[in-house]
Amino acid sequence: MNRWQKIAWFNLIVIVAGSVISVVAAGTLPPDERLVPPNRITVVIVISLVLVGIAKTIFRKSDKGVDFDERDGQIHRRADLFGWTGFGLGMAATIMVCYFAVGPRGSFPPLALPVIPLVGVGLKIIVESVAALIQYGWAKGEKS
Amino acid sequence: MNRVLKYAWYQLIVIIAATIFAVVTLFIAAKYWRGKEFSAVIPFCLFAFVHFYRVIFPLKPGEIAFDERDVDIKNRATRISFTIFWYVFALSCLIPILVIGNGSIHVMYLGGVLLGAAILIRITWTIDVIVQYGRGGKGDNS
Repeated sequence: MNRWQKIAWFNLIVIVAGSVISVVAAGTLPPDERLVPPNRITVVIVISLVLVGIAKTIFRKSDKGVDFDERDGQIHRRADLFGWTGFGLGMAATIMVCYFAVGPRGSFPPLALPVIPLVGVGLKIIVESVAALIQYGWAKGEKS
Repeated sequence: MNRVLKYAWYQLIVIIAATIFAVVTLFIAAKYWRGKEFSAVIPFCLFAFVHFYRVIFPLKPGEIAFDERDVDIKNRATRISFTIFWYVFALSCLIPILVIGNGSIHVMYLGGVLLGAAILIRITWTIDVIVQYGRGGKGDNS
């Protein structure tokens, strides 16, 4: 497995696990406290995003061999585009869910708004990682 | 001017025209047709003309649709437009908290944000493509 496959797997596992833990943490909080940061949900989200941010430091570049070539660049660009597409569709879906949940004349607290771009970032990372893994191959045998 | 650049200019003109038309319609509806302001969304159907480029300007025999450089330019423009969109969207989600605080916000605010985001992505994309080609793209015929 090459470095980029490992990073894609790591990001995917961190974001999916972080999402599951956030939902569980939200269930343990009273409804009034769910949207008020800082709380357990905020801590889980911050830890997940920090781990994804430092993934390239955790999986360091090897001293031997070529770490990143034109093919890797092509795969990353394509995965990035897929990620952004997933983000856009995820945003639209989240907003539609909010719309149907409260109705056309409803309203909701502004504190719920930051959840939407966070969901978008999570979706972007998931789709980008999956796209990279599909292009590289999910597991063994890929060495740069 | 190559085909991708022409498409970018075409898109920019259609989006700006549809936006101006919608704003004027909204103004007229708000002044004379109270309660039916939603009709301002109908002119945005003009956005669909963006996708009729190939029908209105079909590919001529021997004309190249795009090459590797065009693909690179389009992909870079897509990434930049989504990045800008993310920052603007995040700000539009944070600003109501600072302004309204603990109050409540109408659900149509999200619809407005989504519509604005769609327009922003397209406009940013077209401007980025035009800047990368160098506006007129003189002598640039794929």
